[in-house]
Amino acid sequence: MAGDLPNSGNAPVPAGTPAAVPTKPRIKSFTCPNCGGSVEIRTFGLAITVVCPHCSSVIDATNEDFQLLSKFVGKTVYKPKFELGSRGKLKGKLWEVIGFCVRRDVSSGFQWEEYLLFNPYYGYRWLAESNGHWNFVRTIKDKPATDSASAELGGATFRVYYRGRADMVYVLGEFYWQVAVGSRVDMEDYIAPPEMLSLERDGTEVVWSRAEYILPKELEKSFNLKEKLPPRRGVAPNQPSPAMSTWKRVGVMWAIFIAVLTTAQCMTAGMASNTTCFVQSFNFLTNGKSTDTITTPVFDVPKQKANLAIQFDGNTDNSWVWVGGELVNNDTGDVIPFDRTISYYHGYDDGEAWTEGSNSSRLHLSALPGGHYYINMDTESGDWKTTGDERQFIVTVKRDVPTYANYFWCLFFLSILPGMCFMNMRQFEVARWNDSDYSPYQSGSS
Amino acid sequence: MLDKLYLIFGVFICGLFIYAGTIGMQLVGAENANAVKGRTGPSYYHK
Repeated sequence: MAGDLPNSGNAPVPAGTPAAVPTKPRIKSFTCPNCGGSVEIRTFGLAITVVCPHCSSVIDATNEDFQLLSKFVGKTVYKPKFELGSRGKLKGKLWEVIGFCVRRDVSSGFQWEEYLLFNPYYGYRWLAESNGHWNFVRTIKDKPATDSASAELGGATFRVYYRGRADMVYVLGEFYWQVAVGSRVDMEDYIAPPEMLSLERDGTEVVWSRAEYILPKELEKSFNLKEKLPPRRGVAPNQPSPAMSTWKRVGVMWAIFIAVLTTAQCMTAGMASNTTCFVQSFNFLTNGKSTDTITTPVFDVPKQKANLAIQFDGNTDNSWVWVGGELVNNDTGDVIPFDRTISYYHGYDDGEAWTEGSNSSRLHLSALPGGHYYINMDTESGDWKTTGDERQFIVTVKRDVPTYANYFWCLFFLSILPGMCFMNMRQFEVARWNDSDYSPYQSGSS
Repeated sequence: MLDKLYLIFGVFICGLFIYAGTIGMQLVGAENANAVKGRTGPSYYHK
């Protein structure tokens, strides 16, 4: 037999599952040898066992003697979500529900349900349900190549999700093997959403099956169910991740945008002329304020529109100089006020050397029109060792300098949504692997 | 849906970045955002 993993709703694949039906099945009715109730076999000639719907006894269906194989001794009777005999179209073919069983993982006690489907032309399939998630399952003849971590089939790699043992807890309907409550199988599940490979081994046979995730609403519609199927809980092992597909698309776009940004940044920085428009040194008084406003000569700022950097350099040593003023467009009279402080401090505290600030301060002006400009400045300084001395600071004006702020801001804004998509995708994957002993998201210590 | 919105947003950002690069515009925190018309303050003394 084969079963499924806990939480997966994976598929049962009884050993010896016939791939196709060799003989045409017949419908047959008889009296239950245990309770006397009426029992109907829909696949007489194919079914090996049938379960009495009244007393749940397992009856031999291989011949018309209908001998009792076992009586139901369990305490819980399970109600199938699909009535036996109900029909629905799945994957373009009509299937009839002929069997129902409940299985339980030996170690965790997790239970799931499986429904045996039959079509006289296409044989058997399974519907497996756990936590409201459904899989449409068929047995396969090909044996996947397996190792400790994965299985490969048809060029696709499936990651191991579950290895364990499962017991048959409850059966109803008819089956193509000798079903028995309490029978136990070894199971393995490998996933590659939306598909899953399952192995069932009962000591004599090994059967592989391939499951495909199916939405409950598709089943409700196909089988014309009056009652809605139970809502899905958690994430199934092979449930397709909407977050993954979004992340893949957004991730590719993100990579392209970053490439465009980086290329544009390299070109912009490489082509920046970095022209020096003006450079001159000026005096300031230590530990005092300037009495007269400093005004620079008018200087030419080339190019129609570009950035402008004004740099102030001063030889401060555990002291500071403040420069406040304005850049004035001599042609238009437009004024851009600014203030900058040059302050550099250093020392040695608690056995460690430290520094703070810099002997240089730069002002970046954005998209400044070309023309003729001059600068007005006032100064103030403090923490100098002597008072009233004249010291110098240098003003340098550069046109069209390379900058990186736009690049990093755009990088940041472009990465917000992909970051959220990645986190969302990862959260989904972590939830998917939550019940697995083989989760790639477990820490090394766990 | 989300990916289409992101495509539009990304194209806009890249376009804006390239445009800003050609005119030396700083997209965030430009220090001359408060430029004023006419001469004020110390420039008043420049004759």
